[in-house]
Amino acid sequence: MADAIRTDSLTKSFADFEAVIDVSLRVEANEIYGFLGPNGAGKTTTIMMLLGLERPTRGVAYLLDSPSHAREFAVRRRLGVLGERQVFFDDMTAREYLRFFGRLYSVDRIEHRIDALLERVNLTHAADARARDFSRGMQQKLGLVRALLHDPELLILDEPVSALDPRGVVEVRELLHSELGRGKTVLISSHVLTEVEQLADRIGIMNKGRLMVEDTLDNIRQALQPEARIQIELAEPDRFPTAALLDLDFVSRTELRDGRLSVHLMGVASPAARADVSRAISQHGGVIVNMHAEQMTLEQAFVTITDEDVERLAA
Amino acid sequence: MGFDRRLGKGRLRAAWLVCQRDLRGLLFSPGTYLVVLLAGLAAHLFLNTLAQSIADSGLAVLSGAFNLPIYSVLFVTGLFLALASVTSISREREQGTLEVLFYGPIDVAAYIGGKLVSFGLAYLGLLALYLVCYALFAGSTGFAFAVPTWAVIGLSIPVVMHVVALGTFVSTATRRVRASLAWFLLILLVLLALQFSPDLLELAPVGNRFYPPLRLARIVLERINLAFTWVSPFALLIKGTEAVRRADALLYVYTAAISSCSVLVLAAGSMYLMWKGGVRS
Amino acid sequence: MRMSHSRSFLLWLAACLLLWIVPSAVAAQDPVRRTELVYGVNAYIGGRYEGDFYPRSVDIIYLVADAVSVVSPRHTEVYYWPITNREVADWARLNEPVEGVLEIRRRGRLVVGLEATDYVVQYPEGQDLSAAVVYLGEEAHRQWDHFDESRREFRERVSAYYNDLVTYRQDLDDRIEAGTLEGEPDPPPMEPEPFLYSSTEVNRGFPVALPAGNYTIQVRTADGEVRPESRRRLKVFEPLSTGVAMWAIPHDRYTFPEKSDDEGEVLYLRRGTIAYLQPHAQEEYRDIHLTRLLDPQDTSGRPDLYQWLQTDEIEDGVLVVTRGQRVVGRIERGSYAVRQITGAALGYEIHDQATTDLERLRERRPDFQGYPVDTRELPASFSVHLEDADGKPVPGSRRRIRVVRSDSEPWLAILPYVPVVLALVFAGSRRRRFVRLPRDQE
Repeated sequence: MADAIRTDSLTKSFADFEAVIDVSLRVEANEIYGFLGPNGAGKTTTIMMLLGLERPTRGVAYLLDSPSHAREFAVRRRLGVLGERQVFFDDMTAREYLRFFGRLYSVDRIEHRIDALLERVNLTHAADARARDFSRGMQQKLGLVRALLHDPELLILDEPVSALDPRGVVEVRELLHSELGRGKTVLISSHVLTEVEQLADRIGIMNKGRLMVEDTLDNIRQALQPEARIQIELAEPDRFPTAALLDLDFVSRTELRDGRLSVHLMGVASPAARADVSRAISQHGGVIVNMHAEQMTLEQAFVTITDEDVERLAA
Repeated sequence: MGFDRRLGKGRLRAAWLVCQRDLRGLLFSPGTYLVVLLAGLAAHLFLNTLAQSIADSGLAVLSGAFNLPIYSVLFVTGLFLALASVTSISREREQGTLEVLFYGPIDVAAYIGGKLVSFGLAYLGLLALYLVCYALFAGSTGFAFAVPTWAVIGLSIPVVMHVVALGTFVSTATRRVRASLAWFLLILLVLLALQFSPDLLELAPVGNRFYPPLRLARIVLERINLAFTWVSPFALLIKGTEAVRRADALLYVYTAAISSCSVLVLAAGSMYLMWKGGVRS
Repeated sequence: MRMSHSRSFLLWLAACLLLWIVPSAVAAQDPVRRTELVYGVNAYIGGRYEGDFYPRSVDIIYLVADAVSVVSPRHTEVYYWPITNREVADWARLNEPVEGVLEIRRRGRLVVGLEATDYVVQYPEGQDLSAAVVYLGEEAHRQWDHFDESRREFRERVSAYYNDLVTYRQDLDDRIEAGTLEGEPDPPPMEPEPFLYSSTEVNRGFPVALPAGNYTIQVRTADGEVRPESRRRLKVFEPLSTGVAMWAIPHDRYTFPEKSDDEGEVLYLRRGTIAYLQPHAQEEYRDIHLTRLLDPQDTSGRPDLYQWLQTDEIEDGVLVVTRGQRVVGRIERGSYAVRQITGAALGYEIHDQATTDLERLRERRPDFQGYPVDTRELPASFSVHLEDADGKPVPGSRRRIRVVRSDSEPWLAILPYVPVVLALVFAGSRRRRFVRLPRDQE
C-alpha cells in the first residue's frame, strides 16, 4: 500500500540546537498513526516540516506523494490539519470562519456541511457567536470542524482533545471514529496517551529530536514487556488442573494463589491468546467467573521507555 | 513554504479570499473610520479656508482647489494603510492565524498578492468616498477638479501602494508587531531625513556651514539623496507632482512606473522572505 | 570588564555631540581671515546680471548657456560671517586679479582658452525695466563714456530744472506780492524724465558663453603653469522650458496680486471681482541650478524641483476669452492709474486712464498696464489666453478661470461625519446579529 506520509532523513537544525534529527517515518494509507513524545521532542517541528511550513535543513517530507517544498494546491486540498493552538480571525463568527475556509477549500454545499459538522460537535447554538469568545474546548472543537470541513483524505491532528472536557472528548472521539471509518489516514500527535491507544494502529515515539520507535502498539508492548498475564477467577479453582494450560505453547507458567489463577504468557495478551486460554479451561472442566488481561498500557510503555529499550526495539 | 509554480485558478481564488477577508477587517476596523473622519475634517478645513480667502481677497491662484484636501487625504489615508500593512502580517504571525491559513491551499504569492490588492482596493474605496464628498462640495461652491488634481490622484495610487508594499515587506521581515512598527517608522524617518537632509543640515547647531565634517556630510547626503530620489516614495511623489505641474507626461509615467516597479519588487521580496522564513512566530 | 554595547554607544554619541558643539563655540571668536583665490562672477540670468562670489569652499560655478557671463578670478581675503552664515570677501583689503589665460576644459579636452578683457554691464532703460547688455573690450569703454556723458547731461538737466523752478517760484512770489497775478499762472517748468540708464564701471574679466554641459576651468599663468587652486567645476545649464507667468491684480486689493506660473493652475475669482492680468515671459530652471546661481553658498536648492524665472512683461497682443472651443470675448490691454483711498476705508482704487473722469489720473504715467477680466460680465467657468500681433496663441499663456461663490452650503460641514455615523449604524446592526454565549461557555 502507498505511503500517505513519508519522510527521509528529515532534519531541522536551528542556530544552537537540532530540533529534529534524521527522522524517517512512514504512515500507510488508511492507517491511524499515533505520534508521541514529550514536550520539546520535535513532534510539532516534524509536523510543520511535513506541512511545508518549516524548511528542513536536510531530508525530504512527502504527503500523499507530494514533496513539502513543491506542494500543489490540489494536494493541499486533500489535507486536514488541526494545529496545536486554536486561533481565529478577529471579529468573525464561527460560521463566517468556517465559511471562509470552506470557500478556500472549494467545499460544495458549504452551509450544509457547516451545519452538519457543528451539530456533530454540539456547537450549533454558537454558530453565530464570535469564535474568539468561545471557551478553549469550544475553540478546539471548532478547529476540528475546520480541519474536517472539506472531507480531507489525510488528517494531521496535533493534540485534538487536549482542551476538552470529558463530554467533549467523547463527542470528538465519536466524530473521529466516524471519519476514520470512512477510510482516512490520520496522524495524531497527542499527550493524552489513552486516546491514542484507543485509536492508533501504529505508534511513533519521538524523543530529543529522534524517532525512537515506530511500530504497532502490540509489538512495542512485547518488546518492552516480554511477558503478559491473564488473571482468571474460576468457579472451583482447587479442582482445576492448572498444569494443563502449559500445553499451550505461548503459556510460560501458571500460578494459583488466593483462589485466583494467573496465566503468564510469552508476548502480549492478544484477543486470540485469551480465547485459546478460555477454550482450554473449558475443555478441562473449568468454569470462568471473571477474566482480565494485565498488560502494559501505552502510558506505562511511554513512561518506562529507556535508551536500552530503544536499542532493543531498534534491533 | 510550498510554492505551486502554476498560476492556476486556485491561487487566484486564495488571493481573492485573503483580499476579501482583509477588506472585511478594514471595514470593521474603527481606525478606518477615524481616518476617514480626520481626512474629511482636514479637507473641509482647507476648502473652507480657501473659500474664505477668496471671499476676502477676491482671487486665488491654485493648481487645483482640491489639491491640498487631496494631499491631506493622501497623507492620512496612506499613513493609515501603511501602518495597517506593517502590522498585518506580523500580527497574523504572532497570533498564529497565518499558520492556520497556510495549512490550506494557499501559498506566499497568493497571500501577499491578496493582501496588497486588499490595501489597494481599500485605498480606491476611500478615495471614491472622498471624491463623492468633494464633488458635492464642488457642486455647491463652484470649485473645480482640475486636470492636475486628477493626475495627482492617479499618481497617488502607485505611491500609496509603494508605501503599503514597503510596510508589507517590513511586516514580513519581522516577527513581532512592535518590531515591525519600530523598523517601519525608522525607515520612514530615514527616508524623510534623506528627503530633507539639506534643510536639516542647515539647522545643524554648527556656527560655520563650511565646517569640514558638515561639508563632507552634505556631499555624502547629496549623493545618497540622489540615489534615493528613485527609491523613496516621498521623493517619487514630489517628483511626480512636479511632473504634473510641469505637464511632463514622460516624467509622470516614469515616476508612476518606478513606483509600480517598487511595489512589484517589494512584493517579490516579501514573498521571498516569507517563503524563506516561514509563517510561524 | 567588557563595556556594554549601550555604554559604548552613549560614549560615541557624546563624542559626536562634542564634535558638533565645539565648532559653534569656536565660531563665536573673531573671524579668521585667509587669502584665497576666489571667483567673482557676473552671471547672466533672465535678462539681467547677478553678481556672485565663489569662495574656495564652493567648487561648482553655475552659468546659463549661450549667454555672456563674466568670470573673474581674484585674490582676496575671505572670512566667515556668522550673521549671514556665509563666507565673505574683504575686497577693500585685497582685490588682486589673477593674471593668465582662463582655460575651459570638457572631458579633459581644452574647449577654449580665454584672455581677460574689459567689460561693462548696462541697463539702457533701467535696471528693472529693461534687459541688460554687456559690452566687451573697446566697446565697453565707449559705452561707459556714453553712460558717463548721459549721466552728466542728466545732472545738467536736473540742475537747469531746479534753477528754472527757483526762478519760476521767485517770479510767482513777486507777482503775488505786487498784485499783478491775474488768472491762472504759467505752468511750472517740466521736471526732467528720471534717469533710469544704469551701468557698472569698466571691469576686467573673462567673458564666457558656452553651450550647456559640464566643464572645468583653471587659470594658466604666463609661464605655462596651471594654478591648482584656480580649478573649479563649471556647470552650464539652459532653461528647461519657457512659459508665461500671469499676474492677477484684484480691483480692490492692488497691493495683493497673485501670480500664476503655468497653465495647470486655475484662477479662482470671487463673483464681482475685476482681475487685471499681466502676462510676463518666464523661463524654467532646475531649482538647484537657479538657487546656486543666484547665491552660490545657498545649499537648499534641490535637483528634483523646478523654478520659474520671470523675465520681461509681454506688452503686445490681445487676451482672448474662450468657453470650450468658442471665443466669447477679446480683451485689450489698458493703462491704469492707482489712487489710494484715504480715511476710514483705506485701500486702493484702480482707474482706467482711458475712461476716468479724473484728469490728473488720466495724464500721469500709468501705474501698470494689463488686461481687465470682469467677472460680472463673464460666465462661471472660462479660459483666457494671449494672442500675439499675428493672431497666434502665445504658448503657455492659457489659464482656466472659475468664478466661485464664497459661501458654501452649511450642510457641507456635516459631510466629514457621515462615514462615522454610517460606521456606528453598521457596527450596531452587526453587533445585534451576534449570538451571545452564556457566560459559562465563554
